[in-house]
Amino acid sequence: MRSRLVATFMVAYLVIQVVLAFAATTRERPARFGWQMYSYPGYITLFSYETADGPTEKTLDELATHARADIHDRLRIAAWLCDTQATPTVSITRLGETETVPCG
Amino acid sequence: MRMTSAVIDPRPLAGTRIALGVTSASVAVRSILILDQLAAPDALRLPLFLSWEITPWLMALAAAWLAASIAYAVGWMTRPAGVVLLIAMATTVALDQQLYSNHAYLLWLLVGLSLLSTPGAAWSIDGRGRTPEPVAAWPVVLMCAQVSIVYIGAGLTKVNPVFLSGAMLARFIEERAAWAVGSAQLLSVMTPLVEIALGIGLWSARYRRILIVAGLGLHLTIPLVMAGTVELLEFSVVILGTYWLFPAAARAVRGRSQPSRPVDSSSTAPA
Repeated sequence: MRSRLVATFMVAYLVIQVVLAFAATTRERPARFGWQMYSYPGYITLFSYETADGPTEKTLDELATHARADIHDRLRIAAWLCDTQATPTVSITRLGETETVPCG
Repeated sequence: MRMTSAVIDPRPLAGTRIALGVTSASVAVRSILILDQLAAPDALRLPLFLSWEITPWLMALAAAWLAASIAYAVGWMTRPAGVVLLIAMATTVALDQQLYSNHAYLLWLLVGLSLLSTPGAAWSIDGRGRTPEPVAAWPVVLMCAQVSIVYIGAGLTKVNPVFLSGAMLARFIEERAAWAVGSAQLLSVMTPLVEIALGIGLWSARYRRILIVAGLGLHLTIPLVMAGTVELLEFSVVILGTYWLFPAAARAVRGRSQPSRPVDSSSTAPA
């Protein structure tokens, strides 16, 4: 009985890990719970917004305490800029495309 | 002997426990420093699973992670320490995406799997003065399988035109290793080949020695030439710390594990 439980656990663990690793390859790289370390460019994302000093443009590296390539949460970063910078909009530029997020 | 009931010498797992514990302590220290900065009212917060404010209690939890890592490394109350490590680490990392890394995730998985065997059976305070008993092999087989999945996954995802052109590595190579820029394309072709070979070949007694040399070269070169030295060094210690598990894991898979008899205590050392 114990032997069968152990065998079931082993198979389940390996299936989950293999499926997770494969599923990660279809998501924005590097995906969480995947193993795509340094496999593809961590495209630089620029966040543009207005401050009292005029238009400002910053990368995630400049905004985060500890930037990582697997942080793809751009809208949440835009919301934080809205809250802390009192800017009317935040523009997110990535791979040549710009998306403008209105604040408020 | 069936793999699910096979046992192995406890010393390779003890060595891995020490490597994982030391790395976990290093990750915990870095995380405490990041948490401290994230506690500032205007800091960018990117919750992973838990949207909690960073309170002194959570800082204490991160400190418990550090303490548990040290206890796990030296093998003092190894299993409870490992459980505290897993809970405290998962909770801390779930607080913010800036604390997560796939290296930390791998570390967490390996510590969890080690606890399904008896990681404190040898080279530990728990086992001091006792003859180490052989330990369950199947968790060690899973730990090695996990490392193989990481290697093969990492290798396969690097087989793309951008990585193979050398552009990726050239971007991450530090100024101090400018000599490596000229070899970036060669290194970029070699890296996935070595990773895939390690994922498969570490299971083979025939190819293991040459692959261990290749793996040492890969994991010692990466922190030397690339940016983010501490994190990469942590990853290298985690991965290299599992290499000595492969001979026993491979024997267990082939049904040739050791008989269940105590290990000669004269050849063990205290932690």
